[in-house]
Amino acid sequence: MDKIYSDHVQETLYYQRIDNGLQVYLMPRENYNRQYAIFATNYGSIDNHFIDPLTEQTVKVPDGIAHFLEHKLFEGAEENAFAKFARMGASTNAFTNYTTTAYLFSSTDYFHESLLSLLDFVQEPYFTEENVEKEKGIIIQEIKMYEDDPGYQVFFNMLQGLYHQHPVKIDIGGTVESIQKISKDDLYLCYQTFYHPGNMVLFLTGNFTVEKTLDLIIKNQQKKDFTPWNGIKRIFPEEPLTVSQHQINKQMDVNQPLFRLGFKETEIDLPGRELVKQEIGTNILLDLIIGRSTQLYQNLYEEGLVDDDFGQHYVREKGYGYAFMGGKTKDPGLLNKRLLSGLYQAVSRLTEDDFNRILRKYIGDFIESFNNFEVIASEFINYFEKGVSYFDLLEIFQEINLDYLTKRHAVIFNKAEAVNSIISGNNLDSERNN
Amino acid sequence: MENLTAFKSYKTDSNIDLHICKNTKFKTNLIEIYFLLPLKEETVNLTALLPYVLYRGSKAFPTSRDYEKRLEELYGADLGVSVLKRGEIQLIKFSLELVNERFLPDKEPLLDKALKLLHELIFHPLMLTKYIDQEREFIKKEISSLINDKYSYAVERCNQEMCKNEPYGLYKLGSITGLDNITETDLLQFYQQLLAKSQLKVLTVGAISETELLDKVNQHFKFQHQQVITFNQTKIIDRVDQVQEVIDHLRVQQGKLVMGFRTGITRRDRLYYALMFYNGILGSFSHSKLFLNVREKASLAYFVNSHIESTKGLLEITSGIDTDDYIKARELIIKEVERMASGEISQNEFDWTKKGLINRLQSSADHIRGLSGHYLLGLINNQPDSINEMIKKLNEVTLDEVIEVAQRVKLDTIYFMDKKVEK
Repeated sequence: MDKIYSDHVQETLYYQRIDNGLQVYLMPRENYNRQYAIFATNYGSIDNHFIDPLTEQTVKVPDGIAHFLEHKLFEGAEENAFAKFARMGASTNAFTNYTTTAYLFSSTDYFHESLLSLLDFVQEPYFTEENVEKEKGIIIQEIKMYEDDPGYQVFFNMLQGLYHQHPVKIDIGGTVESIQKISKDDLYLCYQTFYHPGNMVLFLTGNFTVEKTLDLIIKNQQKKDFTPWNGIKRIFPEEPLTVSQHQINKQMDVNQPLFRLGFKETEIDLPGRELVKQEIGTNILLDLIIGRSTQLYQNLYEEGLVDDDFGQHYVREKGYGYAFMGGKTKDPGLLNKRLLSGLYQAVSRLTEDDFNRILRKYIGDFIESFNNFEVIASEFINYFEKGVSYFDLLEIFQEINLDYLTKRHAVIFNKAEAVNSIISGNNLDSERNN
Repeated sequence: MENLTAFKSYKTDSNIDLHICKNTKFKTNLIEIYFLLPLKEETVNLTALLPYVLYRGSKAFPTSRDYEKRLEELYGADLGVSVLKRGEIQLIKFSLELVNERFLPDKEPLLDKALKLLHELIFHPLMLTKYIDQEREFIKKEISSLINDKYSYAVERCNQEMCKNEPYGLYKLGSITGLDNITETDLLQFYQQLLAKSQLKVLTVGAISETELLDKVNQHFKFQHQQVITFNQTKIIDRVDQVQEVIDHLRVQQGKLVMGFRTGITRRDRLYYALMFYNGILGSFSHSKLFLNVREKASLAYFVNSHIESTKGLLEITSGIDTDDYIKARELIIKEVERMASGEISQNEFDWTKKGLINRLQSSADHIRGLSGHYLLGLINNQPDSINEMIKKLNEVTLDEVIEVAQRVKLDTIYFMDKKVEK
């Protein structure tokens, strides 16, 4: 077992790689009532094309299958996972995003029992034709919930504009049509491919003793048989550096239009630490040119072109990246024009003072993230999959300087093309009758 | 554990109620300032507008941008300015959460600077005409954009219809016409009245010395202030003459169903803890009747939950369903509510709910804002129990009390957002 102590946050992280390939991280926290565990596989909605490890054939699976699989792992031969955790007063949940599927629980009692339940329900799939069919109705309602969410739609459409081929443009949940095609056998195939312990990580935090907990995990894993870990061959299409569409409009019942302006990352092939530096650096850059403390934001706010829902963010994963900004606005066209000219001019106004102030915010936010188990666990998993320890973030902050940001500005805002996504509400006339 | 979740109460020289939870487990300190007012037609718009105007600028920070820069300097302190509704109480909330200097490279004390910032925000606002006019427009847009979020809109519509003759039916941000009618003089007068007479509560959580904090609040918040406005006049209605059904038609893919019930039970009542059980068994867990029967068995919904409003005594069931399944889902939900009333509650349902509720309460003590939010609800209902006291009371609830609650819960309003038929 290895351990790392961080002087800044005054916390210790313990680490062990188990023989079957599973990597386990533990961060004990005194004075807390809770324990929180997250068991994640490096498998998300973009992993829809791969080599079947048994037949060595290339397969392409229906859209939305990683998310469908997440729902179905909760099934058990005798009792489903929800009931197992309810019995102990613990709560369980899961989420699927573009790159990760994660299962988690939160407990204040029966921690070890809950932990074993988590490991067992994720490692003992139980799919039947009947339980697969029954889930479709539930997932269709989940998909429709997002179809009614203009905030999700405006973001989703922006991705349609940014990408030609990359599967990040596919909805995580798939479509009502695509999930109809999913069978029990498809689920087992994806399960066998992506749920090997070698592709997984377990992160635990809260009130527990490290040695006992680790021992329990090792014993549980030793009882289970896994084939040797040979890695996964994932297939991604060639993605052009240009955007697919410059503007996408959609009509929904909204009172004020929603607007997103997106930029595609073109410096894609970077190793883990450089990738994370690019992610954090570009986010700092965005804060410096359109964040709350900028003159540009203040002007747009006073003109009534943006409100305090406005936000900006840079997303970076292995294989793709994009910057985006937006919110509700009375005039998407004018806002787009003002943002573009503001962004291009901003680079000449970057100052050391502003940079140092924003850096303080990043340091403070990093320390604050240790307050919240949900945040720390998902951030940890996110950076782990990029090949960086979350504890190293403070060091990476120090590697960023104005010179680096100026270069980033040239790449992300000058070379790349912009995408506009707009949701507007023509003919909004809701009928009411009692 | 008690010392980590309990608040100690103090009165400052200026008649402010100061509640301190000394707690070393967090990386941050939290300061929350609440002004409490009764929710009513005459002041709802003024209360909604004022905090946003205050935040636009003060003597030391003439623009919001100056505030934002200051917050970034304070290692990304989070300043929250908001308006809340709890029962028939409207609250103005200012919160500031900032990293404890124990974790910072230069150990500079941030608390003093934080209190100065809050002092500036509340006591030295510029209240320029342009700030008032701009913020008025923003809130009006916020109100009309509620429809962008179909779920929140549906919940608000149900409240509005269910409580149309009660103050609770007012939206927390007021109304478009009400905001239009506010003059600058009205707002200034209201601001002065608020400082002079309203109930003011300050809640803090963090590794802060109590005496030091009391001294600092005394030093920074010195003003003429008497707490004379009675803020909680919430009327509890526990009878329903006739169930009403309200249907809106909008361009949606999925129907949103919201069913509003009167429980007549608030945090002040003997049966409050039994109501928590009732809500848990019915619909707030994944072992609850609604989740099992409407989602897992009938596959009708992805989400189907129940929630309680503990100051006004309401319960709400919300779900997203296919519009063709409206009647079917409604009947299934009513059937589960009826099973509760007839006492069809298994030992497992009761036991698991008890454990689940205790788990939730203990977990809320691990969230800095969970601790304060929870304590505030207790305070405004005159029941400022600590989390441990609440757990003790939960352990005493009997099945008979849960059934007693079940027989008192009455359906009042069914709201359904249906698909618009395209002409």
